Amino acid sequence: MYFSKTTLVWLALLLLTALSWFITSDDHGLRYLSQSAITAILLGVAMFKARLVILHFMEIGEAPVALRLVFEAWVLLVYGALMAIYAGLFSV
Amino acid sequence: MNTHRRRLPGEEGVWVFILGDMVVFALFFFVYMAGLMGQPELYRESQKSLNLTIGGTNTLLLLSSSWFVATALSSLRQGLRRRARNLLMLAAACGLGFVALKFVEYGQKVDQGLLLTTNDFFMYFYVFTGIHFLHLAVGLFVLLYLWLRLGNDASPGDVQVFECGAAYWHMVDLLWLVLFPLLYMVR
Repeated sequence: MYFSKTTLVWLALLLLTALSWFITSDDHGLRYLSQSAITAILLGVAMFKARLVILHFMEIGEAPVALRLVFEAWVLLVYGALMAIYAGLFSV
Repeated sequence: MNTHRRRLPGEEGVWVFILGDMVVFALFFFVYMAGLMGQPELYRESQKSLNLTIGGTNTLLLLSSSWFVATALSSLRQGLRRRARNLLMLAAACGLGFVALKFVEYGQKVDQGLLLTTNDFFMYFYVFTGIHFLHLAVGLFVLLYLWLRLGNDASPGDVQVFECGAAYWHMVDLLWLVLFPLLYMVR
């Protein structure tokens, strides 16, 4: 392939950033989506981008499984907790 | 490179630190989200004052800086020390761009009369982006250290030390990747 894995990951990160920008700017054609759905997508994309950096830039994808599990858990727990708070599960 | 054998980049201590820092920032994220749900109208209204263009550009800068750092590490592993140093400089340039834009952004906010004490949203905005900014500033010194070290003769620990510094820098990047949409977009 012409591009290194690093470059492909970077391109994916740029595209996902542009996607989030697009969704948040004017909601073109996405007016049928609720604010909750948009938030779920925005945060989901954000966590996925963080995961790409973790697995490929930080090289956790090739690290011992135990360490990888901890990072995957961080991604899932942060996303889960943020969505749970957003959904009102922990109202103060 | 053998991708079938798993190995730990850097050394254990740096991962303990990185995970600890990521847990702290996760708590920041939760606290902010709880704040948003507690005063949704205030936060949404205040969020409109944020400069998405600066925030978005900063994201692109950090993503690119991580590409430069990752490619620099790859170059170092191939023994291309000069190339690694040049790529480090480019990564640092991206980081400095982030710093400059951060000052512009804070300056704009101050000019608009939006300070840390204005309301809860802006308190979180300044504190969390500020703490992230401090992490980035430390990261710039880490990149400088790596750059200086690569100017010396090759030593066996070079790659491992570089991996530690690179991991820290990528952490700074990934934390922004969550912080930016959370503060600037989620409502």
